[in-house]
Amino acid sequence: MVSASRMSTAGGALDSIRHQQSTLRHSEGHHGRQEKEIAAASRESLGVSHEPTQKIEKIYVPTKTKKTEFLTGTPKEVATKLVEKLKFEARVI
Amino acid sequence: MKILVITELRQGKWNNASFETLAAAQQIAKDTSSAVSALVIGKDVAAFAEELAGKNVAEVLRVEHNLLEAYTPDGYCVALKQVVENAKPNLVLFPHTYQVRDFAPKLSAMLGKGMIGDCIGYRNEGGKLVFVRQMFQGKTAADVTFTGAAPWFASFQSGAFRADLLAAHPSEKAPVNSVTVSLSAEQIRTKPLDLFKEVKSAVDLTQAPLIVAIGRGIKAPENIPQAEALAKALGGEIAASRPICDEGWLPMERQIGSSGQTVAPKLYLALGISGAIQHVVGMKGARTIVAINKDANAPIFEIADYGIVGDIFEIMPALTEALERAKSG
Repeated sequence: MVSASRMSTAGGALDSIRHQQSTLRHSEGHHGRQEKEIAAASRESLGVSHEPTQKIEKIYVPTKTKKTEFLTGTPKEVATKLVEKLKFEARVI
Repeated sequence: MKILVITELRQGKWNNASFETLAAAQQIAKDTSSAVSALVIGKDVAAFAEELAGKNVAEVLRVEHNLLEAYTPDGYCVALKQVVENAKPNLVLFPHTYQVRDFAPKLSAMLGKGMIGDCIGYRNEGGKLVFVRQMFQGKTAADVTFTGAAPWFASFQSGAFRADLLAAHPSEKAPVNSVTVSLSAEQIRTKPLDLFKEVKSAVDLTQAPLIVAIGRGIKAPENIPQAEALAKALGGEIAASRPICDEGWLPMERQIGSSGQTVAPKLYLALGISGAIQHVVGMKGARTIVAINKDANAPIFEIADYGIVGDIFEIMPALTEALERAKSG
């Protein structure tokens, strides 16, 4: 189990996860097996020599730009109001 | 700056998103003192080129070849690569259609360039173009700029710009220039077969100007005819959010959202739709959005132009009647 104290920082949590993974490997009988070498490949060796072609300048939560107009009244009243709005204001019907 | 807009024809008809992208290009050109060229590609496209020449563009490029009669990604890329290399535009714009998604990344990669796809807008920051695109299904937005030398490739999402704001040519017509491209059958590795619709009644919601969409609030399939009557009175198409299509109450082709169609009609009437982000990404480009929902806190109201908090089963028949009355009056 992950103790509360180990969860107090992101680093601590990561250590804890690594510890759990390690424990799992041991329990599955991987202990003592020689680690395989992970080959490193450079961008150039893969034939991808281009520099990045675009840059993300900023990521943000979009802000609401529309102002919603609420129509109130009886069903018949709001229906009549809406048809008028769509016909003469929005001009979509 | 020189802007080239690649328009799209499908089965001898314009994809309306082409005009939205052309409107975007005109706006960018106005902001950056640039010139716009519009390109039409295919076979026997002279009439379409003439139509484009009536818009406010500096020139129209007509790219014709027998092998371009039917769309293939290879054919389009080989041809357009030559056009871009010769015309030397700084910015190449596409409508973000299914076809563009298929070939435009390949085309930009062939030229060793990147592409900013599915943009919803742009800003001109001191002469530098910043493109705005959505990430994580619209939960976040990102400002993206091009680095490195032109040409830069970008596509605009359907509904991001208004085709009805497209400016006509100020005098008569822009010149139409035929562009010859070298293309051989061996360069095209796929053979398009006949297009078909999955079912006879298949509808292309992307081209529908008026849409009535239903969500979970419709409660039961027995209630759908009420919404269909409303759609009929409006002269629009019926559509739905995912749960309705998952239940099989409406066919999948009528599903709007991230796993369905992306639409940008003149009017989108959302009935009993809460406004989950997966649905909203498929319809927020609509020019006018009306939301009717009994939950005043439903997220759909955040993107609606007009909102009615109420019972759709009371409002649907009243609205159908009001529309019928308006038509006859």
